[in-house]
Amino acid sequence: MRWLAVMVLVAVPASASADALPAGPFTENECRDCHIREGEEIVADWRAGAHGTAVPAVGCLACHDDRHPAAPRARRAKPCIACHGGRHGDVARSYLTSKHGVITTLETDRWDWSQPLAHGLYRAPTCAYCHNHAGGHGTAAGEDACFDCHSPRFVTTHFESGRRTLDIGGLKVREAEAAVAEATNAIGPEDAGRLSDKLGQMRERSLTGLRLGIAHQAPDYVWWLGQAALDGDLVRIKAAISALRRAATVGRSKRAETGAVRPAGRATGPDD
Amino acid sequence: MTTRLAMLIAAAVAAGSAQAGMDEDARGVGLYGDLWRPDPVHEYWDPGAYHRPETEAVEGVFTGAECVECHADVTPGIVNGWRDSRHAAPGDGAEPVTCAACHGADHRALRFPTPTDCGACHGEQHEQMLDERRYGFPSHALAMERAVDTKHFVDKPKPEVTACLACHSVATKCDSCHTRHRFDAAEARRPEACLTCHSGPPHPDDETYFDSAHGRRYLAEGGTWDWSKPLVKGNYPVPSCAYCHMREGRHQVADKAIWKFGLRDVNPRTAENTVKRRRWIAVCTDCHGESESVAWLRALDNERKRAWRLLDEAEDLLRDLRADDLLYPAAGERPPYPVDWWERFWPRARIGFHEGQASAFYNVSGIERRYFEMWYFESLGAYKAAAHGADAQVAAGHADLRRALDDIRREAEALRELTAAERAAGKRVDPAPLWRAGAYTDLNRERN
Repeated sequence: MRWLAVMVLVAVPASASADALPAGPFTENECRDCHIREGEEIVADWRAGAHGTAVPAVGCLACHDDRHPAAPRARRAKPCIACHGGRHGDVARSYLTSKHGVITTLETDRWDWSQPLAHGLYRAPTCAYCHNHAGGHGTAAGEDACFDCHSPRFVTTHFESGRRTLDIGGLKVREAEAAVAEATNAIGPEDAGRLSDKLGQMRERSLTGLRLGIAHQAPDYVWWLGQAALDGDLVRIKAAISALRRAATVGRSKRAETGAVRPAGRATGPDD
Repeated sequence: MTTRLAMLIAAAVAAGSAQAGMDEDARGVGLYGDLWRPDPVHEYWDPGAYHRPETEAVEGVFTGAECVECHADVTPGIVNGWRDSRHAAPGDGAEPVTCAACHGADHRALRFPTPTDCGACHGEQHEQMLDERRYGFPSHALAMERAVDTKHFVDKPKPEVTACLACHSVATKCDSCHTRHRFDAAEARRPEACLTCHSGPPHPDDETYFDSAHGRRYLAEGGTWDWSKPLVKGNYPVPSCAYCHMREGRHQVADKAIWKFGLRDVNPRTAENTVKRRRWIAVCTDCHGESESVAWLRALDNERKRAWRLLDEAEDLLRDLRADDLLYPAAGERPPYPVDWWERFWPRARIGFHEGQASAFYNVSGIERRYFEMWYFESLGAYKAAAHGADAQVAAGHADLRRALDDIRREAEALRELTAAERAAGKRVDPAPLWRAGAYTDLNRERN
């Protein structure tokens, strides 16, 4: 009964202001001017976040389109995926293959997207549920959203374990960096460039895959596209260095091609 | 209300870090369990083995209604999920299944439900799942044992291998497919329910299914089908994963496994595999003619035969390198697995499924890693494509396999030339400084 009273109190002004909302379309500046005038913090939040500080900035229309009601569209995963690499890009794919992503895919058409991104009102989080929890307009995801469904112990344990997992991935990169740094003095610039490319791929693909897998709870990214991929990078880098050293010792020309370089391969879907 | 909620959360958060962590004397499970300590997060993947009841945060024995009242504030998402479930409204006048039925009522002795707990009500499904064990691995029921008994799981630091257990927990919990707290059969019938684990380089079941005629139709129309219907003939225009692999909702996936995930060369015509073949044909003939079904299975046999010809050739190249002592570093020049103590005296590179190929993806030479990827990524990708009817991906997979064999052949030749030159010159670069030390390698060794 008490809840009912609260709901009525909250619902009445909300629907009254919804009636008063102009329909649009709006320009970027019109959105910002009005929301600042209404005394909302969302514009300041946005300015401080990754979208607001990007050059050029990613503005309101990118996620909300240009008319009211503007929130439901931006709560879905779709507008995020449109920019963050597409369905087969690692950012979206690590989310879409997680249990959160799967549930969202299956239930998207059943959910009431007019609800705020808080209080566990969605059975699984979309991108915005965590990255814009409770309507925040920065983009960094914190623990707050997790607590809506998971116990504090569960959240703490997962965050701490994820940190340890990521640290181990970092050690693999450090081991490769140290090996390359030591080898670089003794080899020509062309071979040094090849080794440096392999290091770049190790950081940008495998370590990023690991980080995304941990953040989005996608086991395949943590393991096969993360830790096990880093193992492969490390082996390939050491094999390339070994081949160069051995060739130099017997007075042969450079052999940076050996070390069984794995080509980029078909890491993702048929549409890529 | 808000104050109470804030206090509860503050107390719980403060307690959270104190509760995180594993007991000092916690030990692993399985064949080598006494050699390793679990990571704290393992309690969520194998609760039967590792879960410690919460003792710090809240004290008391509660009824289901009390649990729901408090958790609607504390963790509203799971309460909302449960409210949508059949547990909350079973119908036919049955009593709701509330929190205590699965978690217990005493807040200082709470548990996470295991398949045995679920089986107390869902006995038939639980028995079906356990029955799967007799078919051997790969299987869902044996997944956890298989994970923790592998050499690389025992060897590697446990925080590195937690994601293994995330998928292999399909043996130790039921919510891999029926996610909590709605536990919906309809969800598990849909292909997406499987893809969190069945995706990625060694098992692209998602991509190959979605690229097949079945999968394309599902992607186009599946959202409009009534998934509350059981997985039997006539209910669905095309099969989902569970329609074929868990025929008529039977809770097991191994009773038709002829090619065993594509992991090893098998004789597809043994008496046992003939029985399994008949089971497959019974599934296909729900919609297709028998002769067509027979032909598809034969095409899969042929795909595997072609793949294994290439894989065998690569294995022969590697075995020759091993016999001629051309692997660099050689088996004795890299860290051994702690479970293989005899390898300290008789080091041997692992080549091929029966020697432990599954662990040969790190601490190995470049050419061995290349073979690992050929066997585990390219070959399994082609197999999954053939099994799911993604013809374009079969062709691409076999092109990848041939390219892998070319890489291995070229590398083997390079190793022969290089070693011959070294032997002629009487010089050899010691691989130990590069291969037996480093930030990660040191940590890995120290952990064992």
